[in-house]
Amino acid sequence: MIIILGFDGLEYEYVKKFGCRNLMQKHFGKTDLSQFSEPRTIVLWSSFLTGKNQEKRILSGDLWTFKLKKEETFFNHFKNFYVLDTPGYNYSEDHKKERDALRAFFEKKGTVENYDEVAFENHKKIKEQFFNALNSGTNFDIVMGYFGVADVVGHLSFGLEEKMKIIYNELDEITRKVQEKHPDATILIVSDHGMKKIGRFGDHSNYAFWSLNIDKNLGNPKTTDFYSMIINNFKMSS
Amino acid sequence: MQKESLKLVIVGSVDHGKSTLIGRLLYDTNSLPQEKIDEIKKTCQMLGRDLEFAYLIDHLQEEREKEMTIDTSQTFFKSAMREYIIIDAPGHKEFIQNMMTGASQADAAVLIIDGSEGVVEQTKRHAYILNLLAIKNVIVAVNKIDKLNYDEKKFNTIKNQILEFLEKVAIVPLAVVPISAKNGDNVVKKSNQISWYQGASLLEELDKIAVSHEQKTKNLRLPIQDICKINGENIILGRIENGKINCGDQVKILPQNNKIKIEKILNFIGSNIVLSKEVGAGYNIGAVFNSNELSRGQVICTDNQELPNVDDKIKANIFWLDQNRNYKIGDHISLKCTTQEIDGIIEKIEKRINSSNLELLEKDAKELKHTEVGEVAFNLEKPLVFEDSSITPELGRFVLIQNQNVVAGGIIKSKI
Amino acid sequence: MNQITELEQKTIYIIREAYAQYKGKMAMLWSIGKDSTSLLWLCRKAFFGKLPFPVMHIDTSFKFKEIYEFRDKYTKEWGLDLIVAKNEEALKRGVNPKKGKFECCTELKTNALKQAMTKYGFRALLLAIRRDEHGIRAKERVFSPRDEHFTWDYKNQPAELWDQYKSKLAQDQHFRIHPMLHWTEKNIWEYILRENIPITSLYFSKNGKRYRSIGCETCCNPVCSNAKTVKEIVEELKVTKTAERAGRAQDKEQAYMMQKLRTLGYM
Repeated sequence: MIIILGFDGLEYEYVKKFGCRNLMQKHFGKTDLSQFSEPRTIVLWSSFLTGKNQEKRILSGDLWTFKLKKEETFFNHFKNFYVLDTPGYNYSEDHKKERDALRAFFEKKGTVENYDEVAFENHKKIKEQFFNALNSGTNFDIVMGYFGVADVVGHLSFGLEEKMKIIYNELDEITRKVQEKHPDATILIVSDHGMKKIGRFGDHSNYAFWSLNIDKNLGNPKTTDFYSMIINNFKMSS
Repeated sequence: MQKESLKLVIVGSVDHGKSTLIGRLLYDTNSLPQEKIDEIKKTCQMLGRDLEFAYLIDHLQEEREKEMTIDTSQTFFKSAMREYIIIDAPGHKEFIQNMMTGASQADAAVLIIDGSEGVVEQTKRHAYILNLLAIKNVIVAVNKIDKLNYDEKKFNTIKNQILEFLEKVAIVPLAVVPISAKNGDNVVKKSNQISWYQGASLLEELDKIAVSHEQKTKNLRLPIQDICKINGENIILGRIENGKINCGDQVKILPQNNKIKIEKILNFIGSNIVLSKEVGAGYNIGAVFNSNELSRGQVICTDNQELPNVDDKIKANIFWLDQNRNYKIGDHISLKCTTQEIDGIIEKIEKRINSSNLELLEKDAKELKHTEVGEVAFNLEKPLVFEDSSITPELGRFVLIQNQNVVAGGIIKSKI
Repeated sequence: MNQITELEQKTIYIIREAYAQYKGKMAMLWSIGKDSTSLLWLCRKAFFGKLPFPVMHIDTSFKFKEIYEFRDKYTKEWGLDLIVAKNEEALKRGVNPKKGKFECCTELKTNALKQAMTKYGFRALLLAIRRDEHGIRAKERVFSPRDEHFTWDYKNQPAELWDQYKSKLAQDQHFRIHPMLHWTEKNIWEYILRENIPITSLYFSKNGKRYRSIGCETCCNPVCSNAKTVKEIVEELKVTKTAERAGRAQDKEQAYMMQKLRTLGYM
């Protein structure tokens, strides 16, 4: 089984700084995003899922409602698969609330606290769904869980390290639970992009994070390189 | 009169929990930027996680070090008694001049010692500096008592070790408090984890310290700082370091030993010059005397039997601060004490001492190195006016200047 | 002696100490703001109303009109020896904040000061900076030497014990002297209140807004406040948590982030 943990906006430097032992698996490193003009979430995940740069296609239409067909993604190569709330595929409408709260903050109609509440509510729900599916006893060939909390909270708080550490610890903990439950699975952790501080706020950085629990050093892969690794079950020469 | 605020320096080895203690004091007295704390607490709550106190504090400290934005409240905290100002005093050896710079401004000091490690090199050096700077109000905080399982016997063992050491540097602590900065035991509030401890919490002990500005003697000590001319009159400027000045009094001018009379004391209020009759210690004054022979560096004193010493040969303990250059016997230096600045040499280094363990390194040494303490004898080109630092601190302590820089601090011991 | 008097006396001692060493080669930098006006007040106190050294105003020519009015009024009333330092050459070239704030500040503030220091041969400058203004200020000394390029070697500073200050300078150095380093923003306002020190009306609330720190008209933003008197400002500061300069910085960051999040498609 392959388990993919997609952590939006997970920053390589923070993972190291906060000593997130479970996120730092056997091999881990940075992903190369230089093929994209801007690190946009929907574009990056869609490109990850398909192995093709989807930037032009997505920017010609509406960003947040963009949906790939199953046939275009690596899931098409597996019999039993489970995908949770992944941008560009089955990203939930619930996330609109996050963007609304973000706008409200900048328009001085809402606070950071209101915004965080929406993010944590979504996170709780998704976490529950994910573990319910993972522990359901179904024999999946591939599972992909997507957690947006680090990115969402990061936009208004990435500069507050002590706050971000709590969130990174949470993601580290989720990873530990997955690893313990499925010691034989191949676990790939990826982010779409990292983040950088702008005062208390957080901008997207132009690289991402990857981490793998098997003995394959992926070096500095492109977002679109994962597709073929996944469909070949990482059986390529390293 | 009691001071409204107390300047506090927290010294001790870097990893003995200084920043955690500062953080705990600020946190438990609600002195940290509340919005930030609330945000973090809320995040923990929403994710159902524990607040990592030590990390929070380390991070606030790191922010300060990195010169990012800080809130002024970080260095101030209040008890029910008064306001406290924490003076930064870095622990590393290479920052010893910064540590001394900070500590020399302090009214009181907390010496923090990790209970599981005991007295280490930096503890010793810092304790010695407190002695050198003549900081009398010292409280020892034995930190990480939780690691000693709140055990009374273990605490007493470490306490005795500390007291034995402090005796060597002539420090009698006001209290030795077992604390856990991490958990908040005995920092602001008394801990019920340590029922065997009869004393007060660290903050309660700090609140007991009395810092006042009252003069220790009635004897006037006024070093002349400068002379300026106002409306054709020569006004003597200076700060009263001890005693008080009264209009009309006959006083003595040292080192000349001449008698002069105070004719006028000036004050400036609003936009007008007003005359005063009497001014006390701590004030900067302007005064007119019936003499034309006054200049910077002279000391005006009450004319009685208790005059300060005047001598060109003195003994002192000095702490060598220059990392770039050692002192070699016979090197020219300037000695600055109050507004007196006198050239001279050290003609004898009677003892060369390691400041970290107070071991005697050498008798009759030829050289003094960075962070070493010397018991030395000066030969000055002109006589110095000085007094025991317990009577007038300003006349008992000095700095040494070489190549335009302060290279040492010292306390005068006696005449030779 | 209460805390404010203690601060006052320490400052007077430092001012006199500076003057004793640098007679004829010293000036005070007067931005006309509350801090430097308080420092000026203390300098007058130290010398019984008759300042024995010049005050220097770095004039970018973009200051508020209230600043010029205040400056001229009190220069006359207090009999000050005022030096107005302007980088005429840069102004002629048309340097202004719209063309680039960084260049504007460098040319019209830093370089104007450098030119004036050379012109008048000053070796010491009194400045009203405070430790609580910014993190890096915590590392400042009272007597702070700068080299000929105006750089501050804060990692390698001499010790400053008790109130014995470094008095001698190397050839190309000059001193920045900070007699108010130990004051806080709150202390300043309490002192202004106690002494009834005149300050420019920009600090007082008009239409719900007032300036908390003032510089050039072009680059200053007022804060929301209803404080119309010094007393009300002191009260306001007791409850304010944001740092004096933080307001300005966060506004900038917030504007940048809004722009960035739009580009990234979030808004």
